[in-house]
Amino acid sequence: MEFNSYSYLLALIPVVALFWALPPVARRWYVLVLSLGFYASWGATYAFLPIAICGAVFWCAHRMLAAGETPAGRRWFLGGIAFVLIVLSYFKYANFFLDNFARLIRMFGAEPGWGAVQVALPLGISFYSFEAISFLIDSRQGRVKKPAFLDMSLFVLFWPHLVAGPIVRVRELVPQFSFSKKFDASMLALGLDRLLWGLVQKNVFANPLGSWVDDGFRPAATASLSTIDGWALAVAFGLQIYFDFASYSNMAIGTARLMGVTLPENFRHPYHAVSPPDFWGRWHMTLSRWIRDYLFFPVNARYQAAPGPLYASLLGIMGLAGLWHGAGWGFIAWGLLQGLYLVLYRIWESATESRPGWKEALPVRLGWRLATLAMVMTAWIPFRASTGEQAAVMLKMMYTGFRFHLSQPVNFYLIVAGFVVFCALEPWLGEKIEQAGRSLEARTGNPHNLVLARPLLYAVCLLLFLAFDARDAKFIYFQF
Amino acid sequence: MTGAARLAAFAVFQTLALLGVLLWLRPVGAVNRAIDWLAGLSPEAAMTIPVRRQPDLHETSLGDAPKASFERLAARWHDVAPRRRVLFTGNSQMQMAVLAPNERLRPEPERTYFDWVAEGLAGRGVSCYRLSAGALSYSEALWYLTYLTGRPETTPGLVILQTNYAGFANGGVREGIAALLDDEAFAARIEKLAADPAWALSEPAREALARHRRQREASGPATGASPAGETAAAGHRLETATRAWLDRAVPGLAIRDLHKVDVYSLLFRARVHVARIRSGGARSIAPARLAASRAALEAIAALCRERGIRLIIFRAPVNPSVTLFKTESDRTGYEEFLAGLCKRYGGTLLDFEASVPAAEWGNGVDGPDPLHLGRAGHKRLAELLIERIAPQLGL
Repeated sequence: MEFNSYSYLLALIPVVALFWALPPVARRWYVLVLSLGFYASWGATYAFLPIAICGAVFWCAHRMLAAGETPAGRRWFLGGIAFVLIVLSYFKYANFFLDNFARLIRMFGAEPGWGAVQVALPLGISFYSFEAISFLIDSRQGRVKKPAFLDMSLFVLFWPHLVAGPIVRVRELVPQFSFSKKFDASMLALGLDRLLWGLVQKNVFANPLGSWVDDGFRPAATASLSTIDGWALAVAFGLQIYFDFASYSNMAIGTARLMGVTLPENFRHPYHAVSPPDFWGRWHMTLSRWIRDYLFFPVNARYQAAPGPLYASLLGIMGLAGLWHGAGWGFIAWGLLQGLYLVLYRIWESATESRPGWKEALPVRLGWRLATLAMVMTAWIPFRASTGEQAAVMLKMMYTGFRFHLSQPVNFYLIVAGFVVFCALEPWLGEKIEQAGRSLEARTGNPHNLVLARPLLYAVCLLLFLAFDARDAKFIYFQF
Repeated sequence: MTGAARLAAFAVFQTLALLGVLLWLRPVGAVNRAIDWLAGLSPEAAMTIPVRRQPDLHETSLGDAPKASFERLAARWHDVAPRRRVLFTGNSQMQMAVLAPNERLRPEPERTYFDWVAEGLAGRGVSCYRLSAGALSYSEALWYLTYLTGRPETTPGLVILQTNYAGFANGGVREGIAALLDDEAFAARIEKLAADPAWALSEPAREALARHRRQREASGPATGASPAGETAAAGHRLETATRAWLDRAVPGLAIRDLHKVDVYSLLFRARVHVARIRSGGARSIAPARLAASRAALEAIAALCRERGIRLIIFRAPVNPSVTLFKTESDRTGYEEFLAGLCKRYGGTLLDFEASVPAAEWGNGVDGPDPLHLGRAGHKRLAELLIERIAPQLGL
């Protein structure tokens, strides 16, 4: 059951109404049962997995806290993390490792005696594994006090963020699971704003772009692409994945908001970034902070000011972030490229430390802004390409083998250009709509504009969602 | 119930009621009509004109699911002598009508040139069949012919292949046609074609084969990197049931696709009136795509010669008020290739490119249609074709 399915949207009305009708204590169990049902709707067989992870991690955390700062406590901590990583590796990476090991063996003339493991990828495993790890680390560092199993289960399984994030932290979510807030009409307004905008982003923006991108990235079409096509396809995929993932995050945030729960933001106009680090402060923000807090800071605490190890760790950590996205060399290449961008920016920052005026100069700021955009779009090529060879051909076409014909229909370029303009104006438009809403509310005294104005906007969003209905179009991040 | 809850319930009610009104009103369609009116267009110019669809004469799925059509064709041609079987294949030009400025919509569906030809030859014992699809690539035409010639009862005696320069820009094999790979004997023939790495067509063939394999795996038991058992899952079944129920219960919901057509039509009008970009402009086709299309035509001609099927390639008419070629070498390349192809493989080349006057061409939202004929244009082309085909059939 996906957020953009009719059954989900239809079920949400009575589900939310009943939630608010229940006493707060009962709401906790109600949400847990619904979360399990939501996950099981994709396949009951695999619903045991997040429950098993919750159980194992809670047990490890419990024993770890009981043992305190002793070697046994440390063993429980590492054991819990190892358990989660082993489960994740088995389901997500087993075939990747076996396949690559087999290739390595074949290079030495031997024939490996194993085939592929028959294993299906459980939905959202990368997301709830990271949350389980963050629970263990936060418990170890004293940020979680005497966690209850129900809290822990709700933290990992809460259905709005279960399948594709945002990746939450214990301290921002668990306190909200008292569900003690009183219903306020603003929850409905803010929740529906995000939910319905997410539906439009998915069905009207991401899916149609996806059809063009799928066509353009067909391996058979690669050889006929020009430099313009390569860049247009990189931009088109960059826009598709942004709208697709941002739509899911919006729907997750909106659904949670309907129950009075605030989830962290995941996107903040990422293509307006002024530098590579700024991009990571705007793109999949909850993954960025997870990597920063649980990988980057602990690893770099040892290196302090040594640039070599710092750069190596940046590359390594971003390579792992790429691998987190999927078991493929294209994802790793994407992560390494992002790491390289961060390193280059750090080098630039170090080199210009003594000349602060340089950084503020308009041409420099503009240059970094454009370069960041170009670098980010470039990195999407290996991420999306079917093979390494295809990525190499497209990158060559974009940067060295200049050809300027148009091999796609003119509508493709027009649509990409239209979305680029929309993306450029998105923050400004958002602000203007908000201002107009506030001013209308002040003039009419209509609370949250919930009489006529907001419902009309909601109806238009729903109409667009229904008109661009594409049942089989999955969310890209579901495969991660 | 608190005041906030009442307000929330009222907001949800208003949203659903307004949605119902919007579904019924089709507001974007109304905007499109207003734009056309302001631009001085006749209502017909903006319409998709209904054309005849006869399962005995046409592959009615237009490439989406041709297998069922071919079963019907096999039953029909079973008793027709092979030399009397004529297969027409081509792109949308063969299956669409766009009314000319002086033509008005009639209650009965329009006939395309194929319908006139089929009717004209039927009385002389010839059985025609149209195998067309919008933006049909020559690779797809090859797949079709490879499939049909795999069975004696669907093998034609004469293939009439419609070409235009724009058709060389189409590539790949769509999913509906790739689904023919379910037939194992056909799949084996395509795999043989795909195995030749030097051939320009092997890559699209390999790609279609791989895609088809993935699809078959996905519809089987859950394996590989896909969400577990999704199609059989409760959520999937619930969604199917919900959609079926909503389509029945909510008036206007079943035709929600039309709102998308309205939005795309609005964007098209923006393209025409604001960006001033019209359809069918002159272009040069990318070398790799051109090579793949030429390779497909070579393969079609070779297949026909191998199977003793006569081949007529006819250069379809083009609206004299437009040109499809960006450069003169695009034109000479196209003309020389088709002439050479017919010479090499013993086919017949008919040139109808300049055979229909400008007044008999369709007129759309963006002006004269470069490729789609009006009512009179279809009739004129049909008469010319019958005149030239009849001797080939010994009539």
